[in-house]
Amino acid sequence: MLSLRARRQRLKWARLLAAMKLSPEAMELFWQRLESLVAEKAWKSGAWAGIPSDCSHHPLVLEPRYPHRLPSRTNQQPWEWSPQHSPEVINCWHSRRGLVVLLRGLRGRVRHVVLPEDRLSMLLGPLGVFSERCWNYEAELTAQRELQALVGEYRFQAYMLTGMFLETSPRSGVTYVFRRLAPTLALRPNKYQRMRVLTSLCLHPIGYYRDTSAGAMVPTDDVLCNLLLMRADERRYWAKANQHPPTDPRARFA
Amino acid sequence: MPVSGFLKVPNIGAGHIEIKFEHHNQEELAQARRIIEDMTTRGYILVVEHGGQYKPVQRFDARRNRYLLFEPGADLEAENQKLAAAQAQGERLGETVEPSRRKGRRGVQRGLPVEQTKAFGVAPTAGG
Repeated sequence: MLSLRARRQRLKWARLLAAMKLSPEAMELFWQRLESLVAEKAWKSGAWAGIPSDCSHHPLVLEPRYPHRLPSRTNQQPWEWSPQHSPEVINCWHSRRGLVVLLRGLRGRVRHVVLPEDRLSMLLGPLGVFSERCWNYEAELTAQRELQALVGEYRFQAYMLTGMFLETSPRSGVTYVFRRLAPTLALRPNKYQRMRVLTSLCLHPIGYYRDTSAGAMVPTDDVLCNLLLMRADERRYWAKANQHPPTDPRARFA
Repeated sequence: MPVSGFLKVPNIGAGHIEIKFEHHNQEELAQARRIIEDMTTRGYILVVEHGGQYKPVQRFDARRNRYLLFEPGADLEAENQKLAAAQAQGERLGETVEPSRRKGRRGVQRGLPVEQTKAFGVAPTAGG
């Protein structure tokens, strides 16, 4: 939930952009200049991983210790629940029927609601993030070069052609499927030597865009960070990641 | 001392920020030290490559410019022998192995100099 100050700042940005009435080319130059200034400020203020951009259709969920964000490039404000009228959410979970939400109303009565899964929105969410230029194409190319150096030529070709690659941990014997724009799958063979899915591990550095599998960083940087954490400290990787069962649509498994 | 150490941090706008450590440039070394100290206080996870494996950094020793790793279950004498043999051949110079100061967990504390170590910094992570 945004503070009153943050909402006022966003409204100020939207009015400023509307008043400038720039051509698309001039607007593009304006955003490039703004991003370079922000990058310079980020370096001085300690945001070493950069400052993410907000998205009007999918609000940015940031790590609590990372307060910096750029406004959305469009003039639209991210849609947020109004705190005055929204009921209290007690709990929610995914079932075969959909997303089950337990709510406590204003009079204290507890009700449940079953919401249908909007898989199309989840599937197209990254396109919405891309359309608002929240990612830098050059950063993606740099991340791919870095990934190639880390995983080798064969796995990198598998990643470029299929969007995923496999790596087995020598410590635990768990095989990880690192995927672009999807949670990492953890697999292990059962007693019949058939691979079964343990869980999906969803983890993004800095933050992610709500109701999508898109992170604040470019997709390959997300894969890179997942890979480094798995290789270095598997326990911490499992502890920090959100685990979604294979039946959960957020696992992007089926 | 060969200069091959770096710290790479994935960055949203710039791709990857690479900080190189040059032994003869004390000013840049001091700036790099301040950056690493700031990263550790902000919750960045530092990962170093050592012996073909990737290991997490427990602490950063700013006074001696080295990453400190904790290796549970390792034998101090065996690690000292391996390190002495490697250093006799001119490898792993500057690396140190000390008894771990962690209470209740046996292991060794390994110190890797920043000028010779390849490291990556992962920003504080949010779920998904």
